[in-house]
Amino acid sequence: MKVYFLKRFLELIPIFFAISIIIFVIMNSMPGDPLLQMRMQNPRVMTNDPERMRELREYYHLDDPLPVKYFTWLKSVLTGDLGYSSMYKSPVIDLIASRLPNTLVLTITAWLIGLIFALPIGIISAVKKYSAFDYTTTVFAFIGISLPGFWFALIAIIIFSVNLGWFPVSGMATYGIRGFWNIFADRLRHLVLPAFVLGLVQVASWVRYIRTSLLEVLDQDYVRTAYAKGVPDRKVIIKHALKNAMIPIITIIALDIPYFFGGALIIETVFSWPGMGRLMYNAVISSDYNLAISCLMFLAIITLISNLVADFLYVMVDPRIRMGRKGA
Amino acid sequence: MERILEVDNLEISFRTQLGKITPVDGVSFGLSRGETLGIVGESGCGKTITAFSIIKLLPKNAFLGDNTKITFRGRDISTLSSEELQKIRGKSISMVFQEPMTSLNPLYTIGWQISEVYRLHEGLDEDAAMKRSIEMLRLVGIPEPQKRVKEFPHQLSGGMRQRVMIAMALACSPELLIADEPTTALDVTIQAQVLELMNELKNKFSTATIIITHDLGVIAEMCDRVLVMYAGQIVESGDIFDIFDKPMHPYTKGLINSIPKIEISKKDQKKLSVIDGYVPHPSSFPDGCRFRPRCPTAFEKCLEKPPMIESEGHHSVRCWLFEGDDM
Ligand SMILES: Nc1ncnc2c1ncn2[C@@H]1O[C@H](COP(=O)(O)OP(=O)(O)O)[C@@H](O)[C@H]1O
Ligand SMILES: [Mg+2]
Repeated sequence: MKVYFLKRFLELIPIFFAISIIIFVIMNSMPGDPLLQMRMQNPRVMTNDPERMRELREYYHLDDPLPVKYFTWLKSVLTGDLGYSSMYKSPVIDLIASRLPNTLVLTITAWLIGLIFALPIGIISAVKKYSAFDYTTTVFAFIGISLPGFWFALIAIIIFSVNLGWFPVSGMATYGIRGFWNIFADRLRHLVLPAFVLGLVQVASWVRYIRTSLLEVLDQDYVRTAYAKGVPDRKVIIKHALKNAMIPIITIIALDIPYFFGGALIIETVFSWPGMGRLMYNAVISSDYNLAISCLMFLAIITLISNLVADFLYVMVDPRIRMGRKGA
Repeated sequence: MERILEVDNLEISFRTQLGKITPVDGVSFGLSRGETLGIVGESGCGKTITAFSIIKLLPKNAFLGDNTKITFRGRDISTLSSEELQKIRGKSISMVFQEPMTSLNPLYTIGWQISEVYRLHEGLDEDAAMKRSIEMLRLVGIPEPQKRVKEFPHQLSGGMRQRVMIAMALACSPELLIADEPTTALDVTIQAQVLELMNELKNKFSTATIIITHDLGVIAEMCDRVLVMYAGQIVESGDIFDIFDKPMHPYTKGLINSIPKIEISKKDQKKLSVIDGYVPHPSSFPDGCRFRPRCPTAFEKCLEKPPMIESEGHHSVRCWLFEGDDM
């Protein structure tokens, strides 16, 4: 088992480099000359003098061949230097370090909210197939799947912040609040809407997925065996059916983690949540090269980690795979 | 002999997209303690759902007829609460299924799955339940049971898994064992071993047994009495000698003629035949005798529904050829 995961982990390294090449090439083939960009942002300090321009190009290695550029970049990235954000005027690594915790709080809360709602709803609609409950959730699930997240965000703001005044419209904290518990409560109030919107957007598709997986398992011969043994209904569903259904469910739920970061991009922007999502959005909008490439790499790493987590959980639950891969 | 099971006028219907179908009707039989009853018929005759109806394992879209009555040890099964039903299933009535490959839960060890029965029905703790499971595995002829209990179903062959299913079914010494095609999915050599094991154990535990099969060879090996089922009805019933030595219904004769015999002369070989045609689907059972379209001896009268006609002893047949033989 340990060997297997070590191997899986090592496999990620070449994948990581492959992704970094792709991202690097794409970012470098984007139109626009960085120097012109810099001049547009700061016309006073930048000259138009061709000689000076050539010097700058040399200084920034702008005319190096792409592979050389890549390795230069890779070397600095691997030494922890992600470059300087032209937009925020500060090192990218500092920006990420200050924003990442905010995003993690938001996405993890949203992920848990998604799970807490999706699991029971999906299970009940499978067990009570074709009941009023099942039909109702099916209708809501389709509405949920077909409507965009930012729309929900805006509706939620209108209802819960503007009309009812229960939660703040945006931001992550109120200034000037003192005392641990007051700060905690204030943070929580800010977190509720964005986390719910981000989490509930996933619920719709998860409910469908959980329902389908569980229904498939409930039809299996071993579930009938459990009933024939006299196992009570509730135990049949939880111990025999659900455990089997969890294998595909876990995989999907772990593999969907990157979507929360993608979703955070929009939700953070709508709610002015100072996280990675908004950072990424701003980086792309204003062609902040170093920041954008770092954010993309961050998303890639999250995706790889989610894959590893999915694989790990999958193997933990299923003995067929656990044993098939023993020491492999 | 004490009757433990009485199935009276069994009628099973399903709500389907094609409307209501009734794949089983008018099936009545009973079983005494320690007796072995065989139910034989081609695939699709309604054998499995007949078995499921006894422990209420029918799918949700199934329902029983108004005149259907199933009594187990004098109690009407339909009046049992789900708790009472859970106490009977796996303890007093057990089932072995056709597909050993898929009938065990892939995520639990076989030891866990057998001990679950002991934990549920005898209130044993995990250690005691596991000990009993090991004994049970030894009894069904699984080598090194202490080691095997820790294995998962995927580590066992089909024959071994069926032995585990049998161990699980017999764990609490049930009064009634229902085995639905227990050997159909197994290799021929393994089939013989499993049959022998079942024979041995049902005698040891004096369990009343219902063996469902499409293979008359299995019936010959195991049973005291036989029901021949065709298209959801019993077409002939009798003790094993009646059925094999004096078959009456053309369907029974057809089944017997299609058993390959080892010593076979050239002349007999021509007679070895399968019955032409297929079992009709419940949505299109023929009027009158349901076997009529496939019957080599059908005549006008067969357009009417044949009644069950009792011949000598307990040998009965649903066929107009024997009208007037009534005794
Ligand atoms: N869930 C179901 N819904 C509708 N029809 C069913 C269902 N299960 C079984 N049947 C019908 O019942 C008939 C008998 O099935 P079964 O008892 O499995 O036959 P056997 O075991 O003799 O092969 C089949 O023809 C099938 O059409
Ligand atoms: Mg069957």
